[in-house]
Amino acid sequence: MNFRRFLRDRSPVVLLGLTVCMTSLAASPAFMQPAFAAPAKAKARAGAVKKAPSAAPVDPATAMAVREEAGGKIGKFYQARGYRPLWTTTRGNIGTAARELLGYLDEAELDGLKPSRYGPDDLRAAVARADRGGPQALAEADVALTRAFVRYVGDMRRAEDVGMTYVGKGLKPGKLSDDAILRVAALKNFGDYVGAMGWMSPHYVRMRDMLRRAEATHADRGTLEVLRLNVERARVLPSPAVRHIVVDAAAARLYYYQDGAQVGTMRVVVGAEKTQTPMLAGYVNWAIFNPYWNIPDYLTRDNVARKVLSGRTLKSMDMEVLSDWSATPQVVDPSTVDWQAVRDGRQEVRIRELPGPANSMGKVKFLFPNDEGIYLHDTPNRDLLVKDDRHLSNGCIRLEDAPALGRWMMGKAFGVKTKAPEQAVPLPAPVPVYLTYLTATPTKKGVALLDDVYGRDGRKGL
Amino acid sequence: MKRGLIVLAAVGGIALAGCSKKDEPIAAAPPPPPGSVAGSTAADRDGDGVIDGYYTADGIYHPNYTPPPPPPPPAPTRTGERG
Repeated sequence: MNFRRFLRDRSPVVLLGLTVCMTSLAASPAFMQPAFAAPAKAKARAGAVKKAPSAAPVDPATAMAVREEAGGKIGKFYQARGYRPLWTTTRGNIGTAARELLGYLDEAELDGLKPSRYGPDDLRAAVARADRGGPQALAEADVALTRAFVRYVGDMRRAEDVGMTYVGKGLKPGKLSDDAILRVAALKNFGDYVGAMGWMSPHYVRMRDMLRRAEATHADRGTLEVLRLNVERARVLPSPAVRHIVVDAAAARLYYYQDGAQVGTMRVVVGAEKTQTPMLAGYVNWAIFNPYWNIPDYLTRDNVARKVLSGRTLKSMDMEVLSDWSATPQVVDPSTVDWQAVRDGRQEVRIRELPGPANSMGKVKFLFPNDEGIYLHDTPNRDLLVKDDRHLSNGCIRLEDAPALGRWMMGKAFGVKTKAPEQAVPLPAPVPVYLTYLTATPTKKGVALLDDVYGRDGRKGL
Repeated sequence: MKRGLIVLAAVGGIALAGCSKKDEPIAAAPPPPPGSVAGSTAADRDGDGVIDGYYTADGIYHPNYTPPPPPPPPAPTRTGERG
């Protein structure tokens, strides 16, 4: 079939659609900028890499106007990008990201902020002037939007104390510099970043959406208070640009993120009501393969000693007694221990479970230094992971798929080829982990509150 | 007739393409560092806007600079491992 015959046989609507497709395709970055779509020339040793897209062309008059308009740290940001506008499209008007921002500012009370602080009405007027044309009006609107954006993001990231313990530098949300806010925002597609509220955790965005819905449907005061509490808990979590792990102890789920997106999730078993998983943030920096389980003293007293007194042997439980809590303890004959004294709390003894298929830590445990004995670890008790209510551990986080998480954190460094116990392998780079507690979930009808298993919500009349 | 159809299709396509989002500003994503492997993308591990490594196609992060290993794992305390 030749092309003329092909055209004759198609209806005008089909042809119109075909043309639209071809036009859109031709306008896509991959076609406009073949250097971006194709890999760069291979390096002799390391291979090829994707080349960055070239910057959008800038109108000299607009760039000059931006230069005049922007000052201070914002001026430095614009200078670094050749005074290219941030909010202006290549067609020379203010793009959809501005509408997204203005929408956020209008409802800033959801964030615990006052919309008037950001002057959304003045911004709208500036955008309207820019839409009428002229480089000066465009520059004024662009810079004003940037100033409001920086102020809003900085305010949103300012977190209050929600009961989270931070073990390590850089985990607690700190004051963000204007420069850092803009540098991160402009790193990739700015429109997508603003549209997804990319500076906040996806958990924050979820909680904020639920709060909006609950307010719109006039939910009761108690529900709104719990939702606001959840918004604050989620506020301390990093944005998905940060490579990190979140464990939500209320839903008993783990999520991990990098490069602006969630890359995995899994079920976990978390602490029971009496042995709660704390709100804690730390850096995972070691994987221990073929681990021992060093049993906490209270479990030795309440559990192990009771079993020994009722006739079980330590050997039958794959456990051994150690002389002390140092790094180089001696193995002690269990018959020399006064188990009744241990049971009564008059004597303390160190017990550990040996590596093996039944070891409570499974095949690997991930360490993040903390004083509460909390770990992420594999588990042999797979049946607990299929339960709906997974608040069943002594506080640690038992993982549904420890190898998947391990491979994501460590790549090829995950695993050892020996069966020797307690093989410690450092992570190539530490991974922040945030243990939090989010008790609201979206439903088809609106919002539902999860059981407040740990009693942290202070719910009244719910 | 045929020519009219083609013109109509082209004009319609251009008009609709004018409404597409492809005119949004395109930020210049930084290139992955020298030494990164094929198919990798630049990585900003701690979200500060500074490239500090790269992600390979399987999603694994590779730091530009390999820090010295962390302090050895601490000896267990009486708290043990709560499990």
